[in-house]
Amino acid sequence: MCGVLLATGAVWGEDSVPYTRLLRADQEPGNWLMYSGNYRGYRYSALDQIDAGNVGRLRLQWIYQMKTTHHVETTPLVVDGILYATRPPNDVVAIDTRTGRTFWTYHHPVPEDVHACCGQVNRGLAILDGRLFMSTVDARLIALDARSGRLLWEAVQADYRAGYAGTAAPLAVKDKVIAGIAGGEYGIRGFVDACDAATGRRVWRFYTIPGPDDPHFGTWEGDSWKTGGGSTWTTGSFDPELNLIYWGTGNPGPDWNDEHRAGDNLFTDSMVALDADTGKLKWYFQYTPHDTHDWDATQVPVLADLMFAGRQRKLLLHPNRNGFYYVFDRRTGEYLLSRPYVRQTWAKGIDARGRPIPLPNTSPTEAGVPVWPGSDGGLNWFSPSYNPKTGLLYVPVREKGEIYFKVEAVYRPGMSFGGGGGKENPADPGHGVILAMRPQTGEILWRHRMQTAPWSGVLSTAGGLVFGSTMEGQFFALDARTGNDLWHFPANDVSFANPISYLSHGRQQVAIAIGDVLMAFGLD
Amino acid sequence: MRFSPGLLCCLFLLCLGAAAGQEGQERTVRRDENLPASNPYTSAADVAKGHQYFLGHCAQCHGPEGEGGRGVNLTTGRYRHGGSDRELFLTVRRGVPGTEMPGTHLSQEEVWRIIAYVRRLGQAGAEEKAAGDAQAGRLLYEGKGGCPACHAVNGRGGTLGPDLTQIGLRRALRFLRESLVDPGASIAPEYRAATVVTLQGSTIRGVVLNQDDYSIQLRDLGGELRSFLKNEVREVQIQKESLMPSYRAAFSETELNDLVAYLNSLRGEP
Ligand code: HEC
Ligand code: HEC
Repeated sequence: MCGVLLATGAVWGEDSVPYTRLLRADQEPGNWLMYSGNYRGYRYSALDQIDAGNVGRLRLQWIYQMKTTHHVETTPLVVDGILYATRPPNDVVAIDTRTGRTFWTYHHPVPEDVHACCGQVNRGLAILDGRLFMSTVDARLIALDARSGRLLWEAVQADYRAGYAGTAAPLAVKDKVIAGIAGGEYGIRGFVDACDAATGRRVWRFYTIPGPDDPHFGTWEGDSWKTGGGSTWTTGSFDPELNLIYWGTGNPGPDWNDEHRAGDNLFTDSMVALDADTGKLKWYFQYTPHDTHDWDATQVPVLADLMFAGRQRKLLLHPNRNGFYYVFDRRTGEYLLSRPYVRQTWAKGIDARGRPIPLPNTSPTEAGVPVWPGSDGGLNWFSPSYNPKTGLLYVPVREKGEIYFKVEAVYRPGMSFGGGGGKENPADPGHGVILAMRPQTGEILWRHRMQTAPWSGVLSTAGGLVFGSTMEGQFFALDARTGNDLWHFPANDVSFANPISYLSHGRQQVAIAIGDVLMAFGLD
Repeated sequence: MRFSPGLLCCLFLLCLGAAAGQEGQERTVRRDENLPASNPYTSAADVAKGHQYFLGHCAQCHGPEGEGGRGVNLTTGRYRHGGSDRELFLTVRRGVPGTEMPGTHLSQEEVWRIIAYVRRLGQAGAEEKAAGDAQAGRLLYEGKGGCPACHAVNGRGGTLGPDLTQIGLRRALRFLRESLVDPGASIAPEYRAATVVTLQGSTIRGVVLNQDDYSIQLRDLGGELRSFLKNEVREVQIQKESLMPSYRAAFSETELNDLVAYLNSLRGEP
């Protein structure tokens, strides 16, 4: 049903941001060309003008006020001094990074009857050949001319009235745009789509819940697979050499009530490695088989090439929402290591093949069962950062349990299909931590404690800094080696976003959205 | 994929909203109960009444012909806040929070009649019959006129000038003709032209996208987005002339008629 509604011709700046530029994104740190900064999911900036010595003088350069009551979860892109950001629900703005003034604004009309699970949010854009791509909360993928903001095409991915919604930043790969889908609380059947970047025509679709003609079919009771969830609502990563796209999948439906979905429920809560050209499954790994805690595996996969146990390997690093940190060989999907990175009380351990050994009495009940971590993790959708200079992985985490309960779940299209939830545990208000981890072992080198469990990602830089934001809206910089708190700015509103860094007229800026304000900092 | 703080915040906002705006909100709701999806008041008489109300309540911002001013241009037929009858009704009823656009306490009937007139504004050219030959006009448009360099129709063409895909619905014949022979006569604020002279003496012309006391943002003639600090350039001139050349001399009377007929025939999807 990926009908293209409008397919049109020429783009003005078709020669700007070709695929070759995306491939070499690391070599132009002055720009931020995709959601995680590079295809490896690093969220790292090689800029070092701002460092531990001068970060104390960091100053607000401009702000952009979004005037919205929705959460602003956007990661902007920056190309040659122009910043492109999404504004909830589905507007796009082009902003001059020197002044914060807008060049153009695009408005995507959202139907009145869109009810997305977790707010009408959007996490950002992809760019390729002069076109910007955005997923919309009414389950469309659209392309704009980056110079004019004009709509080029619009492709319907699924029926939003059945609970499908687009919230993640797409990923542009070769001549395609890869886009996931949200709706795991509405009994959707998840997928990852690849559409032709020039026309919006769908090239392939990978269903995260295998159908009857798939060899992996049969891990769901009866027809429960049809409403099995497996959403794909966080941007994946890409290894051009292996030609594989890595994408995390979401919870099985109903989230907390498993009475009618006996089985492992493939491929929910999994990492899938897909051929970039065909969408064919190369390997998968399921973190939490038959999940009853809403532990989506939709954390950004980090692709790092490191010495592991005495051998150089192509690794995939993944702090999962279930409380364990995992390492894989990303060629084959071979499970190499796991280790808890937050308090966890649900598994006795993880067996040699990576399968958790659940403890008894940890599944939700009518009365409620306290379990760590809570439904929101651990790490959630917000980004970790891998810093090749320090060799460390920085992970913002929620140290928090919840009381898991279940209720009856009845499927009705477009209605929530959670079957329970997680309540606050009065005995544990929880807190947040930024932790620095040795990626090969999961060993934790330092912890920076925060009052409240966060919803914001981190950025690390060649200037030896880790930027992040607290739930109260304190935008801060830590020393990447020690975790020492070097600087903070009181933006004083809830924070649900990831920072980025880029150059504006040759000067480094760091930007993040806090509350409904996008703000850019720099040195004078 | 769920996060409780989000849900909590939403609920919280709803409660706040309910508490603060309760009285007004309730009145609005009761008054507009059973709001039909499409406008029940669309006769010629309704439009005429709507026109009167419009002059009284809306023209001070949107202009007597809906051409815009403090308020947006209502002749484009495109509505950022939704173009269904119901959506237009709610925009006019509730206003656009956070902008100058106020809500109104007019009766439902009166609002519907205004909507009927607003719709008519959005289709200024829809009912006129052009004299020229649209086919011949199309050839001129694409050939001798060189119009696609600056204008898009159905997604093809430049973006320096306005999209013309629906121009036949939006503009009356008289206006179309004037656009060709005297483009400076009426320039929408979003297409004002400017020239920037840099300290090195080079000149950049373009459409003003944004400006304040300290900087100006342009789309230059090549389509690039440019930003200048005013204290870093020699001169910024905002022009009265349009970036569009006048075609008064370039085209014969017949050719102008043909072009106008072609423009009038453009009524596609935006
Ligand atoms: C005080 C000035 C003012 C008055 C009076 C006013 N408007 Fe507006 N109107 C605006 C502004 C400013 C906007 C643009 C709001 C925005 O930024 O979205 C607007 C927007 C609109 C829109 C939405 C256009 C769109 O793109 O969706 C409509 C329709 C509209 N006005 C109709 C009316 C009508 C009908 C009246 C009279 C009942 C009226 N307005 C009175 C200032 C005004
Ligand atoms: C160099 C660029 C350029 C060229 C070439 C050009 N235009 Fe324009 N045109 C503009 C700009 C800029 C505007 C907006 C300012 C104005 O109204 O004058 C405009 C406005 C218009 C309008 C009014 C649109 C509206 O929404 O009110 C029409 C109609 C139009 N042009 C038709 C044409 C036709 C037909 C041709 C070819 C014969 C043409 N233009 C060639 C730049 C151009």
